[in-house]
Formats: sequence, C-alpha cells, structure tokens
Amino acid sequence: MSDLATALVFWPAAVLMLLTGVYVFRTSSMARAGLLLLASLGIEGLIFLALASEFLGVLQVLMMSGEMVIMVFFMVMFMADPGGLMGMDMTHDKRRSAGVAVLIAVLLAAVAVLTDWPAAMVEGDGRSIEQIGFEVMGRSMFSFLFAGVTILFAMVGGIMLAQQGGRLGLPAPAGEPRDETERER
Amino acid sequence: MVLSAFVVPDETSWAVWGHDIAADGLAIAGSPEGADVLVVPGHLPDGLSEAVKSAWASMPRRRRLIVLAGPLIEGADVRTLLDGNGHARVSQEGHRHQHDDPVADEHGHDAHGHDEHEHEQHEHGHDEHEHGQHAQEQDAHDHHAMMEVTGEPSADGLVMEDLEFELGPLSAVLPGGVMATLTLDGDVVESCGLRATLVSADLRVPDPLACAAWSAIQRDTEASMGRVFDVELERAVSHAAWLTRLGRVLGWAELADGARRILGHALSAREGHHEALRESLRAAERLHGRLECSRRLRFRLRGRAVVDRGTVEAYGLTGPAARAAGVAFDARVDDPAYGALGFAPALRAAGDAEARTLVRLEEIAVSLGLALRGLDHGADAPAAPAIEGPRGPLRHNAVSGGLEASGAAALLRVAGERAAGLEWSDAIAAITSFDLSGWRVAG
Amino acid sequence: MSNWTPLAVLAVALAGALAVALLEQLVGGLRPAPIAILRRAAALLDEPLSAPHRPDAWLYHLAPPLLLAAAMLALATVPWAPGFRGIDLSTGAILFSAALAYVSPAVFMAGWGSGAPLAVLGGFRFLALMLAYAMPLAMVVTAVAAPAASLRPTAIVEAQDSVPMLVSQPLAFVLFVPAAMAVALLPPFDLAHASAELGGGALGHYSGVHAALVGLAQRVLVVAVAGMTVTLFLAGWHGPLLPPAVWMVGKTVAVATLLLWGARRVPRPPLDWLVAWTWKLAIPAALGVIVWGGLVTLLFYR
Repeated sequence: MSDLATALVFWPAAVLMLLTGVYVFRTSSMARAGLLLLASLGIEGLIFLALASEFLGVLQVLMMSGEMVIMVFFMVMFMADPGGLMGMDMTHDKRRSAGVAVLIAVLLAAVAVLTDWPAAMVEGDGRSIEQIGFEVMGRSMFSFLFAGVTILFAMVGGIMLAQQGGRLGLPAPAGEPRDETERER
Repeated sequence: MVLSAFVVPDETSWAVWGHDIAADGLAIAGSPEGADVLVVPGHLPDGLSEAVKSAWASMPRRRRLIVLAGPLIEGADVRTLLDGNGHARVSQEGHRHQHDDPVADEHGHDAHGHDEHEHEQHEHGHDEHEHGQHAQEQDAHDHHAMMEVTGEPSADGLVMEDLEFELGPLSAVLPGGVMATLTLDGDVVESCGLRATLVSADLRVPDPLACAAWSAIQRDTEASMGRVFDVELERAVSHAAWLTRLGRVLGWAELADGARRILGHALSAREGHHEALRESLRAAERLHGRLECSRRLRFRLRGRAVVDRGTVEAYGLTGPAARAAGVAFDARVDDPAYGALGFAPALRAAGDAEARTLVRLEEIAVSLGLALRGLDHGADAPAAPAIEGPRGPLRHNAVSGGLEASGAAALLRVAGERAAGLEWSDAIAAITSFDLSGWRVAG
Repeated sequence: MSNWTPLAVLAVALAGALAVALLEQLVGGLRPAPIAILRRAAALLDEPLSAPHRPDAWLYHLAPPLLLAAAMLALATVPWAPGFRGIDLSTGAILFSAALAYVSPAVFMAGWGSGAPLAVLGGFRFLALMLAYAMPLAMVVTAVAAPAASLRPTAIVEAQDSVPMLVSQPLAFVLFVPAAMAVALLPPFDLAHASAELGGGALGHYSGVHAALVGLAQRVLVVAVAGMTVTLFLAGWHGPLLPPAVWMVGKTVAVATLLLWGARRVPRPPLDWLVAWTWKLAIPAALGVIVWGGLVTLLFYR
C-alpha cells in the first residue's frame, strides 16, 4: 500500500475506533456495549492490516470476534439491566477513574514516542519463525502458561462470585444445602 | 425462494380442512413480521380476532391476504375485521388450488400487494402511524415481560432470572389457538401452562378439527359404512398433518416430506379419488417401516415426555396419548362396524414421544386400511353414540346439544407439565408430540 | 488483487447464490425455477424498508449487512483457479476463519435487535453453538495448512497435487464439515432460526431488503464453505483433462449438494447435546488432528 492509502485507512479507522470505544461506556445496554467494543477492536485489526502487519491484523480480527462475543454472553447473563431499559450508568467513581485513565494514556503515548524502535525489517524466511517457536516453547513458556492459567482462574472465580447473587446481586438464598456445600469448599 | 405465509390458525388445521399450504407453493413463515402472505379462514372465532389484527399490523407493508374457504366457524368476518385496520385487498379462493408453478401464484397476488401499498401510502398515512404505535406497545410489553425476574436456581445449577412471557394464540411454535404461559430459565422451561382458547360460537361445529367425526355422529343410520370411511380418513389426514408438523418442529425435512406425501394422497382420496387411498397407504407403510427402527427418531424422541399408565388413568387421558402408554382406550373396540372389519387398536408401552409418534404412524396405516375395506365391504352398521376422533373419543351430549371431547383438557395439562424442566427444543417437541387442539368445547 | 477483484467476487457470489437456491429446490424435490427466484428477489428489493420501533433498531438494521459482508469476505478467500482468486493473502486460511467469526455477532445482533423473546433466545443459542465450533474450525484449518507449510489457500491447493488432504487427514475433514455446516446456518444446526421451534428465531423477523440480504448471505455462506472444503480437502482445482476452474466449480457444486442433502436428513439435535459433544469430543479431537497433521507433515511432506 502507498503511504497515502495507508493514511486514508489509518486516520478514519483510528477516529472510528476511539469513538466506538468511548461509546462503550456511554451506553447503558450490555449487549450494545459488548458489540461496540467488538467494533472498536475489530477496527483496530483493520489498522494493523493497513500498517501492513498482515498476520497480526487478521488474528486480531479473528480473536476479537470470539472474545467479545463471549463477553457479550457473560455481560448479558450476569449484569443487571442487559437491555439498557433502566438507564444504568457504566462509569463509576468518575473523577479518579478519569484521572487514572488520562495518566495511563499519557504514559503509554510517551513510551510509544520515546522508545527507540528497531528500524530494520526482519527477513520473512523460516528462520525468524523458527526462532519465535523456540522462544515460545522454551524460555517464555513459563510466563505464557502462568498468564494463561491466571486468566482461567480469574474467569472461573469471576463466574463463581457472580453466580451467587445472580444478575441483580441478590443475597444468596440462605439455608439451601447447595450453598452450604459450596461454602465448605 | 417462494412467498412465505403466516398461517391462521396453523397449517395443520388447514391440512385437515383440505388445504396443504406448503404444497400450494407457499413456505410457512415463523413470524408475521417475516411473512408476505396472511392465510386466514373467512370467519374468526373470538379468541383469534385480536391476535390476527396484531399479526396483520406487524406484517411488512407489501402484505397480501389470502382468505381460504374453511369449515363453518361463526365469528368475526375477517374482511371487515382487517378492513378497518389495514385496508386489505382480499382474494377469495373457494377450493383447494394447486399451482405447478409458484410464479403464477406469486404474480397473481403481487398485484394486490402493490395496490394496497399505494393505497396506504397516499391516502391512509394516519392508519399507518397507528400501526407503528401498536407494534411499539407490543414490543414494550414484550420487554416488560422479560424483566419480570425472580431468581431461583434451576435444573442446570445456574442462578438466573426467570423470563416470563405468553405465547399464542397465534405462534408458529404452538398449535393455533393454544395459549402458553411460560417461565423460562435461560433456555430451560421452568413452568408451562397451556390452555385452548378457541371456541366456536356455532354449536353445530364445536371442534372444526373433527368435522367429519361430528357429522358422522349426527348422521342417520343408513349411510353408516360411510361413517367408518369418513372418520378413518379424517384420522389419517389429521395424523399425517400432525406428522408434517413434527417434521418441521424437529427440523427434519425428510420426515416432513414423507408425511406430506401421505397427506397429499389422503386429501385427494377425501375429495373422491378413492384410488389415491392405496397410494397413501403405501407411503404410510414405507414411512412406518423406516421410522420404526430409526435411530434418528429414537435419538430425538425416546424417553421424552413420558406419560405412564398411572398418569393416563389418573388424568383420564384418551386417544393416541393413552394408547402410546399401553392403555387400550378406543371407542372403536366396542363398535360393531369396526368389529366386522377386523379392527385392533395400535398400542405401545413406552408412553414417550417416540411411542406417540409410532402409534399415530401405525394408526395412519390402520385407518387407511379400514377405509379401504370399508369401501369394499359396503355393509351398513348402526350409528354409534361415541366415535373415536383423531385425538380421542367424541360423544354427543344430549343436554347441551354439543360435543364432548373427554380428555382434551387433561391432555393440555399433562403436556404443560411434561414440558416443564426441559430445554426449549425438547419442550416444544414434547408439546408437539401430544397433538394438542386449540379448540375447546363451548359450555 | 486488482481493481476488478471486488466485482469478480460479487459476480461469483451472485451466481453462486443463485446456484445454491436452485440446488435447494432440486434437493427438496421441487422443480428448479430460476425465474421465480429472481422475481422473488426483485420483489423483496422493491419493498419499502420496514422501520420497526425498537430500542435496538440499529442492531436490527446492521445485522443483515454484517452477515453479508462476513459471507462475502469468506468467499473472497476461496481460490477458484490458478489465476482467478479474490484476496490472496499469505494468511488467507485464517482470514477465512476470521470472516466466518463475524457470522455469530451478526446473528446475535439480528436476534437481539428483533426484540422478541424467542428471537433473543435464537441469537444466544447460536452464540453458544459457535463459541464451541469456532475452535475446531480454526484448529482444523491450522492442521491442514501444516503440510503446505503455508496458510495461503493457493499454496494449500498446490500441496495437494498428488494426494488430496481428505486422504492424509480424514479426521480433520470429519470435524470440519459439521462446523462448516453450522457456520453456514444449515440444518440441522439451524438453532438460531428454526422456524417451527422458535417462530422464525433470530432471522425470522426480517422482510424486504433485509430479508433479501439475509437470504443472499445464507447462500453465499454455503458457497464459501463448500468452496473452502474443496480447497482444503479435495485438492481444489486439481484434476485430469478438464480445465482447473471447471474442476473447482464441479467439486464445489458436488460438496454444496451433499451439504444441502445431508441437511434434510437429520433432525435438529438439542443445543445442550450439541454443545456438550463439541466441547468434550470435537475440541480434544481437533487437538489430535493438529498432532496428526504435524506427524503427516514430518513424515511425508518434507
């Protein structure tokens, strides 16, 4: 792609990505929020593609669909007001969270601008792929496995916590044997 | 791609009344919003008027109305009903039409649709607005129903809120006229109450799904071999129509096609082409042979919605549902006219949805055989006070002057109870397996 | 990829959709009537746009175009002949999975946007089904790509010039076909839009242009899935005597016919059964397929 074509895709896509990202928190419906997030991250995949990062772009487009769909699934299942009929506000503790968000954004931007990125292109031959393979299955394996298992525990734990009260955060029905056995565990 | 029709009250009823909608080149639509055509009888019983009005209002603007000639139903005239609401152009079709080419059909009705569209656009914009409002209110109601939450843990162990809503009397999911009050927990049916809502104001035809049986009771003793022929052919038609529905509910096109073949021949036999009886019988025997040991049928229906002997006796169930549980309740057993033809009822022991399917399939073959022999036999027999209709015995009530269908109300109750605790597709298959009627006897 | 590529893909999609519609009639025992299909499509396109008053109307309106876009993108990755293909990326096989991954959000949006209880249920059913099926679909594609040492569909076809992948990796084929049928919205996996079970389900509340788009998308999906099955397992355009494109089209038609024929002969299984077997059997089996693919590659393709 020429520079012009890249720019023509990049800037509108970037603006659209940010807009949909903002609207994730402006809507009160869980289904809408999840699908807007899917749109935002899917457009991010398009940006990768526009920047000639083909594999990452396609993978982003593929993975985000599956992941966001799972998120919609769980959000509708566990959140109060999945249809957005009661006008729930998605933001909490506004001033501090906004401050943290701005701080992190500035930090990340600074890192992106100040880092001395390598300029050399890597050869697209088998060697680099082989190196990645050995890296993933060798030295980095522990960190990948640790991250994976942590995410799995977080998901299972989150579901177990959320399941207790159901969508509306009701107190768990007392005196039922099912709950008692769970508590013992 | 053919025109899709939303059928009032349902396509099974129309099959019994002599119109195989699917063979006439129309696809059956699941909801009025996705349908091009509304198929209705000329008169609507009270329970249906409102539902038909709102179905008509939620159809797309290039909609068409087909009024078919059905049984004698006393009630609101569908033309005046929808005229005030949607300025329908009506095509009256006297008897069963068969088009080899769906294009001709489509083209013929297209003109109506177009007229109607322009009509509304230019002159009745106001009405249009009202429809929109109506639809909106309906939606709001739906969402309101979905928000009714309680919060009991269900069979699969997840705490989810219940979703309560009503289905019917017009939905492609249930037989026309049957109204369901449902509590869903995710996709598991937690409770299901079923009731029949259609009452014919005309006592002469209390149950339009058993016309022939009713007139056979009323008839004099002279034409009594005709009675066996009529009633048995009606049973074959009714069961075959039901089997077509089961095929559609299970998403099993092969089964629906096989059943439709039986139905088509049986319908043409009813119109006087007696040689079609043999064709129908052959198709029924072939399908019966295939399904009897079909692993696919077993996988889908075996062990579902079991109604055992005790339940049959406690609730007073009749008809194929009782015979599938091994209870030989059959008004034909005591009937000398049937005795002369060598009749034995079809029985199964399992009492599940598979047994009900196989009992009905066997009964199709038995009934067609009886009809054939009844034709050949030609001897006369006295009229009976009770007749075994497709769904159970029908009896003349001397006091009210109407018809008594014992077991119909109990069947609705049992079907609702058996659907509870099942996943949605199993629940709908279970309800379908009972062959419910949306009509209840007045009084 | 030239400037004409989008037009070529569109032409293939329209012709393929018409062919699938005809095949549906043939398999269903009807007389094929191409003019009737075209006239029906024209009538749908001619109908004024319905504008339902719903809280999520934009989801309702966006779902059919998204469904069609996903189907078109999937179709574009199928190579039809050595010189004739849509998008020829070195990651084409993943792009195919990525495009199909957007079928489930589209169906969910349609169900949710329709706002009727049973339509929402249909949307969720499809999500549950596709979450289970997306894994074997992507894993099988990886396994089949291993012998070709490339994710480029044309390279995968070239790797099959002597032995089709169906022979060397039969289990992969067995896993791929039901997953492909499910993502192509074919029965018995039509849990989202089963008309007699869900009253039309997620896709049954569309009329006019929407219905035309949904109908087109469904058929394009069948073409794409059949085409990709041929590409991955049946040696694509390879074949004796006849020109490559003829072989490719012929094989695709045969696969599409088999899919449509098979779809009529099985009752729809309940969701819990389908999902249980997919998670418990199909996904572990897909892992086995990847191992098998690696073994086959090491032993015979190096």
